[in-house]
Amino acid sequence: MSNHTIRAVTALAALSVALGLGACGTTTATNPVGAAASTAAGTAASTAPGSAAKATGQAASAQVADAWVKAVDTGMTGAFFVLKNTGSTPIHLLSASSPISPMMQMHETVMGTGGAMAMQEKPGGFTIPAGGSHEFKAGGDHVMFMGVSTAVKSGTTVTFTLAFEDGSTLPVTAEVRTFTGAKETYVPGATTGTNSMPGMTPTPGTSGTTASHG
Amino acid sequence: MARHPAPLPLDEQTVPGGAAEASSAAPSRRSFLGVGAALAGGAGAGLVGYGLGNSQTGVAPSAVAAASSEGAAPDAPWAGSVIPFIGAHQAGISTPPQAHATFVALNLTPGVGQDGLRRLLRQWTNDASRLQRGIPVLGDPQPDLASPPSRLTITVGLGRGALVEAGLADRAPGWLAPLPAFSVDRLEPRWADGDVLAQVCAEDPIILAHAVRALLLSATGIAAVHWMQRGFRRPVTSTSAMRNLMGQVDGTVQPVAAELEQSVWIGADGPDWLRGGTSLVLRRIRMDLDTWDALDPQAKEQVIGRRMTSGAPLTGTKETDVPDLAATRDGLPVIPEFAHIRHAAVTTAGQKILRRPYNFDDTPAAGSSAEAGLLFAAFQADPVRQFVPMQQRLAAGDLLNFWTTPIGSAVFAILPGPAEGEILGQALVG
Repeated sequence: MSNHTIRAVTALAALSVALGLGACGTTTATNPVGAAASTAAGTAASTAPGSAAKATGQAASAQVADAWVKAVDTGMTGAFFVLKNTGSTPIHLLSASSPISPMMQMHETVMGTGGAMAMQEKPGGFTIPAGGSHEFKAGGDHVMFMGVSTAVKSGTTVTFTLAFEDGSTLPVTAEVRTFTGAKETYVPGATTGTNSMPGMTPTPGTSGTTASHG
Repeated sequence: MARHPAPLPLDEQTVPGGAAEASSAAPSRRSFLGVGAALAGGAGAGLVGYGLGNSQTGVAPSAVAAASSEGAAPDAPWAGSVIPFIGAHQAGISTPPQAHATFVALNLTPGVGQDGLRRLLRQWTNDASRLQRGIPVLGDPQPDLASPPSRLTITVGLGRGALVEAGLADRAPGWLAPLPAFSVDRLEPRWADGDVLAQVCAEDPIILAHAVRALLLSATGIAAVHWMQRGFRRPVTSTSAMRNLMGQVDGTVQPVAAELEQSVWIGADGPDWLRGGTSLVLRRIRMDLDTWDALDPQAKEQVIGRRMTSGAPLTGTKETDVPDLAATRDGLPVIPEFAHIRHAAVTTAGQKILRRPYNFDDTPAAGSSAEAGLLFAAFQADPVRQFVPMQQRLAAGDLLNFWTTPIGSAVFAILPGPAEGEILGQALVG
């Protein structure tokens, strides 16, 4: 199912994307969690302890903060985080993998035909310029877990690994949260669709892969 | 300094990047405990200072002053003020009380067990850590409502039901149970008990409402609201006394900072998972304002044992004067035998309770002009040792009972403060 367009099928979803109602907001840019004196479990940088020291190549310049994953029983879900490039050269996030998912994809949100926002896979990944940061957020760019077979419960953690163009990798631990926003269901290749369904249940009766994200 | 009505308490810091100013000013009359928290090595003791103007923007105090002189009003002095979350004790106990409070009790969904309790506490730890700094929670549907932090505190406790659901009933202290029945009680089940408690306080009611909602979203699927009680009092910057809605100066007698270890914090003689924690007794006390208002001012003062206007005991001239319970005039006690303060009085630190009351003023029932009263929040190391004897004396002899009725009652074990990297309740379920 690579490289086909996944369209948002609810106007509300498109609106939320257009308005930029992301999970993290701009505050994270000026108030990085972990920078303050007060931190607690799960609030410090999401990059696993020690990984920065061991990481090589592009991963050594990558810093992940505020990582969370939407709780789901089974099926699909998304990971959201801020990826910062602390180095002096661009880094290129290519793919992700996780023990909870046999297949992960990079997704982006683009303006589709007719002005509606549409989701689509971005197999090329994301480039973050030197000193820049990229927000992966609900309703925007995100990393998807496909085929989750065991319940991912709120208040637990999920680990995944980001892989960069040069082969270097960065392990990430994300908090699992219940998230009720951006409930839209995306139907690959469809121009019209059924209404949204709560949670992550694939839409019955549609051909092809049904995707949804947090 | 002169532009602020009163200095903020000393246990606070500004948000990261915000303007901070070391405060050498004396604490306000209401911040006695703040000094204690700082001096006692409580959370953030080394971070003395308070926000000036809009510290979220990092505007220097001088710039705020300049903006103010040009007509742009600075934000409230407490707006950027952050109360530390990490520490030996949770915030919101010895913290000088904020203007607004919501107490929300949840019941765990049957079957979630210890894993469910752990998942809830992990999320609340993360949420509270962020919200108290004015940072949106993960997946926050309304991130714009998270700041300015406005002295937000989130204080978490467990009722006996939480330990039962978690299979940990054998670790509950004996006092973690409903209080014994008092003769004056008219308790309503809708205000009783609860498995998990969050006391959320802030100077700004919008910040407060957002924080409560964030906590409830995190509880989705794990626990559901049992009751929610909202209260108010004066902002921390007020130089006026806290008054209840009967007009009385309220919350005068408190343990001083040096007495907190004996009176409030649970020590080595308590359960290991509660060391550094405390207990909360929350009593919802309805006031019959219609009949109270029929009394003349002198009668009201006899009932309470204090002057209505000044809050001074009938044997003194100012609020802070110690009542002389032995004083007589014409052979009769100056402070009557039936006076409230006579029965509430205790002499030793180990008997004292930390009172953090909030007023409530809800929709009146048909035929009534008020549904008002006091959310009497009392923190003490051991409710059976400290709260119960006092309440028994009040139930037996306090004339104030004619106008006040306890209609809600709940007891919670307030968890110790988390250390870096820990969750609330780490020693119980971590």
